[in-house]
Parts: sequence; C-alpha cells; structure tokens
Amino acid sequence: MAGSFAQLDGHILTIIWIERNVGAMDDSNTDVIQGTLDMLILKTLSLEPMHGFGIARRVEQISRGVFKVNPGSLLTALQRLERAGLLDAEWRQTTNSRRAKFYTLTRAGTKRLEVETADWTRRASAIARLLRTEG
Amino acid sequence: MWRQVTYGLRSLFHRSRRDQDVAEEVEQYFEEATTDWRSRGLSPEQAKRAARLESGNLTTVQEQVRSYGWENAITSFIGDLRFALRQLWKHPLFAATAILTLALGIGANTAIFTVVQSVLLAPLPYEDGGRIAVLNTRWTNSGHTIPRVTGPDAGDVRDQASSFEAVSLYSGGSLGVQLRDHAVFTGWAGVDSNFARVFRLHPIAGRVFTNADAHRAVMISEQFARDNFGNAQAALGQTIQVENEPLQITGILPGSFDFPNKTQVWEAYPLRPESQSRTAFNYKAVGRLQPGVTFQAAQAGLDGISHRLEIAYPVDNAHKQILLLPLQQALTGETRPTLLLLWATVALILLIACVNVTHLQLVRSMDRQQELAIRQALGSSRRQVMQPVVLESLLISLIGGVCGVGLAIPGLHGLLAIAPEKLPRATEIHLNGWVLAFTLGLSLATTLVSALLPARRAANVNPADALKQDGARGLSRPGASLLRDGLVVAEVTATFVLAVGAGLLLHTMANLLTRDLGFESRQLLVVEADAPAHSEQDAQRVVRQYDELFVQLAALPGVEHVAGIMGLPTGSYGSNGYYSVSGGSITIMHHGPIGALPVPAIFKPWTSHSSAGATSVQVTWMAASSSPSSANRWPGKASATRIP
Repeated sequence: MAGSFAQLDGHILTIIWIERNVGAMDDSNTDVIQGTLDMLILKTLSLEPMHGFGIARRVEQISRGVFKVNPGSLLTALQRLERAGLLDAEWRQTTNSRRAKFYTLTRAGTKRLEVETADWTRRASAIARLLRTEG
Repeated sequence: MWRQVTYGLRSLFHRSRRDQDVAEEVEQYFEEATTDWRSRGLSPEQAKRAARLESGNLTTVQEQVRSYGWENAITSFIGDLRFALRQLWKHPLFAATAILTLALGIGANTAIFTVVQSVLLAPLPYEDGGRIAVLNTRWTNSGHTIPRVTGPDAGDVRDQASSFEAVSLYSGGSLGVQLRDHAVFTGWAGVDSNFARVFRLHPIAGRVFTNADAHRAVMISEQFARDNFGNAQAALGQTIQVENEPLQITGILPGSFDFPNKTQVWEAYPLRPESQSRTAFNYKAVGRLQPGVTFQAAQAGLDGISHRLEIAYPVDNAHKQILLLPLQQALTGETRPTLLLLWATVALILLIACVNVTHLQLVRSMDRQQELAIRQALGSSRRQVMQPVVLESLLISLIGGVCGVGLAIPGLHGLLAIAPEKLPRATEIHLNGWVLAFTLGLSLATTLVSALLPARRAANVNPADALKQDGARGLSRPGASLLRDGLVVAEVTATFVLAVGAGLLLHTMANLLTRDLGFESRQLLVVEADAPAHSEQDAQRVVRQYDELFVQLAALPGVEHVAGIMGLPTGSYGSNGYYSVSGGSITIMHHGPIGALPVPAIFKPWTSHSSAGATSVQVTWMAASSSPSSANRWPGKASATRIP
C-alpha cells in the first residue's frame, strides 16, 4: 500500500511541473516532464485511436481527476510524437459527426511505450523502496 | 528524423495550411470540452465558461501549439533579419561607414588571397603537375645551390635514375626569331624530345618533335602562331630562323602552356646534351616522377648517383649534389615570403577595420539601449537580445563582403599591373570559387570579431537603469562618458599599434623587394642585344662589332661608361654566364674602364681576347650579356673563357 502511494505522489509532482512549465523548452527538467506526458499519451492511445480532447479526458478519468492535462502541452506533445514517428494523425468524423484529428499509435510508438513503461516501473519501485526504508 | 525534416519543410512552405490545421484542432478541442460539460448538465454559457476555466485561453493555446517545430526558429530568424535590415536602412550613415570600412578590408584581403591562392596554393596547370620535379645543383661544402645542371650530369641522371618517367634538359631566354618578312624578339627555349613527355604536352595542331628533329624542328605556341601566321593551321610546316638556323614548325602548343618563363618558341635539341663539360651549367632540367615514387625516394636515388659521379670525377664533381625540388616550389619559392608578408599586412588592415566597426557598433548599441532594455524587460532571453545585434553585424559583414569582392576585381587588375615581372604564374591569377569561399569565411569571421563585444554589452543592459534615463540622452549616465572615452582611447591605441605593425610589415617587404645589389643601379641604362654567330669567324666578327659599338656608345653625349656582360647580375635571364672557378663562380664581363665601375670585385674583367668563344653578346650601357645558347654551341670555348 505504501508503495502505490509513493508512486502516486511522484505522478502528482510531475503533473504540477507540467502546469508550471508550459512552453519552457530550455528548462533542465524538460526530459522528465516530456517523458511522463509522452508516456501517458502513448498509453492512452494504445487502447484506441483518439483525438486531443479524448486523450485529455481519458487521462483525467483513469487517474480519477488527479492529472489535469493542459491542451497547449498536450497538442504540442502530440505534434512532437507525430514528427518522431510514434503517432500517425488523420482527420476523421467523431461520434457526434464532427471532424477531428485522430491519433493512432504506430509500431514504433508501441515499442516506445513498452520501453517507457518498463523504465517507469523500475524507477517507481526504486523510489518506493527508498521511501519505505526511510519510513 | 526524416519526418522531422519533411514535416518542418512542409509547414515552412505551407505556413497558412499548418496554422489552419493547428487552429482547427485547438478549436475542435474546445468545442469537445464544451460539449462534454454540457453533457454533464450545464447550460451552454456555463459549459463554455467551464471549458475555458479548465483549458485556458484558446488563442494562447493556438500560439503555444503553433510555436512547436524547428521551422519556427527559421521564421523568427527571417523576421529578425528583416528588422535588422530596416534598422540599417534607418541609420544610413552608420551602415554606410561600417560597410565601406569592411568592404575595403575584405576587398584588400580578397585581392591578395586571389594571388596567394592562384600562385601558391592552386595546383600547376600541367597534367599531373604535382609529379614534375626540377633538378638543381648544390655544393655540399658551401651550401650554394643553383637552379641549373651540367649536360653530362643530367644525362647521367636520365640514364641511371629509375624513379623518373622522363628527364628533360632545356635552356632558354629571349632572343630574335626571324620569320619570312619580319623578326620577333620572344621567349625561346631549346628543349629535348623528352620535354613533351615530362609536361604531357598535346599539340593542338601538328605533332610533338622527336629526337631526330633536333636543330631542325620547332614547336610554337598558339598565341605565337596567331600573332605571326594568322592561325595554327597556317603556321604548321612553315620555316622560321633562330640564330641563323632554319627550323620547321611541326607542332602548335595550346596557348595556356608557356613553360619556361613565357616561352613561345620551343626548338628541338638533341637528347644527348651538346655541352659535355661537367663545370658548365648550361642546362635546366625537369623530370617527371614515376607513379607512386615520392620526392624523398627519388632524392635518395639521386644522392646515390651524385655520390658515384663525385668518385668518378673527383675534380669537376667535388661536393656536387643533384637536388630535387617539386616544380611548384621551384617556381614559387622565391615569391612565397613576399606574398605571405603581403597577406599578413592586409590581414592586419582588416583587423583595424574590424576594430573600427566594433567601435561604431558600440556607439550604436548605446543609442539603442532603450530598445534593448525594453526587449529584456518584456522577458527576452539573453540570446534573443543578442540576436538582433549579431544579425545587424552579420548583414554589415556580408554586404561588406560583396562590396569587397566588387572592389577586389579592379584592385586585382591594379595589383597585377604593378606586380614585379618575376611574379610566377601571373597569367593564372583570377577570382575563383576558392577565393569567394575565403571571402565568405572572412565575412563571417569579421562578424564574430566585430559583434562580440557589442552583443555582450547588449545582453548586459540593465533594464531598470536604462529605462529610467531620458531616451534622448542615452549616454547621460556618469559611467557612460567614461566608457565612451575609454572606447576612444582603446580604439586609437589599437589602431595605432596595428598601423605600426602594418607599417613594419610594409617596411620589411620593401626591404625584400629592394635588395642591396652591391652596386649602384641608378642612372644605369641596359640595352639587350643579341647577334647570332655560328663559327669561330662569326664569333670574332661579332666581338669586334661589339668592341666598335662600345666605342660609339661611349662617345654619345651623357654616357660616362660602357661595359658588356653575359647576363645581368640578379637578372631574370636564363644564363648568368657564370663558370665555376676553383670552387667559386665568376661572371664574364666586358672590361670597360673597370676602375670607375661601381661594381663589387666578384665580377671579373673580360677582354676581347678571352671572350673569343662568345657567339652572341649582349650589349648594355655599362653591362652586356651573351645569350645562353652561346656556350651550348661552343662547349670547348666555354672553358676557354675561364679566367685563371
């Protein structure tokens, strides 16, 4: 139980960082932030193709409101992932018959998600272990 | 990676489409958010507010998303460039002064570099010219080296050295060539049939002469053919006379070839050198190295031959070494230090120009302190503040560079007009891609040097202080005048130091150019004359002619002394007519009233009696010289002119 709490704390901290550092490309912490947001996007899209708002809502719902994703950061991240070849984008009809840009995971994206998930789990459990020993 | 490039380029060239794409996506995002809130039971108004509260301002988000991508850096760079151009336009005095200063500096550098590149750096204009070597003779005991060889020594090299594809002996100079209806004084060389192999000559008409053509055939340059026969075809098969010898034109060489030293007429000489004296340095020699043989390896081979010759001819070949030199080095070696000095001088001048421009920019950056302060106050990063300053400088340098090239073209013509006649490869000098690349590099370096200080200062402007000042009096701070004074002092000091440096360099160069010849050359008139003689009777007649001529010349009003010499001291003439005498060398010279001549003692007197072998003699007022061919034809007599 203590372990999963530590994991959540880590997420909250990261998300706060996202909110504060919108557009600050030269920040030294960018890697961590981008990495986390990218991972969340990739994970969400691994379930089904989605448009920007869909991704934001899905992240929010699954995290039960803990993560609030800023559209500016999200859409920028989507562009970046698309250019990196991890996502494909396509304008399609939504369920309520409006045009929206839908993002799909590419094969490279699936592979990246696997790597990032493994990496994150390893780190998180390490932090959890650290916190346990101190507690 | 590939996607990064293609997507970036696509959005760069279809800017509006991408902008629209982003705008639509963001709009759609906000619509979805509103719909989402409505589905949770909010009224349309409330839903809209909630969406905005949740996601922020639509335009801000659009801006943020749009600013992603490397192509945005380019767009903003172009914007800054435009701004810098406008700024320069608005400050024409500053712009014109800075550009002109740099244009002069860059122009001078471009002109000199053109010469340096064409003469020193560019490969020789001969087929595979890097493998052509010149044979020199060096005395190991004195270190004295002359660019000539004796006939038999070079013949032995040709027979024994395995590292050469071909070795050619030649001698040349200027002399009179008789055509059917007129005579031309032109560059002439007697070359053996290997000459064409060494230089890989391909005649544009006719054929290369063979050894069987010796003293019967001649090759001429395209230029000579055009000047004297109309065209190459018309010249082919015609007969011309050199030194009373009829020679048939068998081949026309392309106009670009004029080795050695602006030669237009190449006479066929036999492969076996006619002069068989090992102390008469009547020939120059060039060789083409075998493929894959280095100059060092070839030199090692020559050292072995030199050693064997020294043993075989202990008197004539004592301490004699045949020395190999790449043709390029042999041609340009002497000019090298002068050119490099010139280059250093103009580099200093450019440095002065840079200092001046830096100063101008600093003054200007004080003018624009407020603008820079506002930029900083609005949150521009250090880089963003420095960028416009550097860009302005870049523009100035580039425009200066273009103007510099414009100045360099007439400058180069002027330079070549006053260039010493000895400047090798002068005809090959022209602007080319290398030079333009050099100028571009120079402009960029200039930007770096002249913008460094102003840009750093711009970045260090304190917005609070700068904005508090009255905009009209940007330099009203107490520290400002101190800085300005300091700048002027630094500027004057730097310019002074650089000017002194440049002056010293020029002085050194002047020293190099006006070497002390060891005799008074003012009020000395030189007349080159050349009279062919082919028998001993001819020779004696010619010598008598000259003796009479000297008397007549001496009788002319204003003439103090008259003397004759074979090849002017330090002159560019092929033969200086010196002969090795017990280790030293002497030059043959007409006696004249020696006591009154302001020449050093190394020029030994020459009398009509001892000069019987000279087949053609050059007359000068106070100096006379003989043509190089004389000794070739009279090998036996050449040694007779030795003075004990």
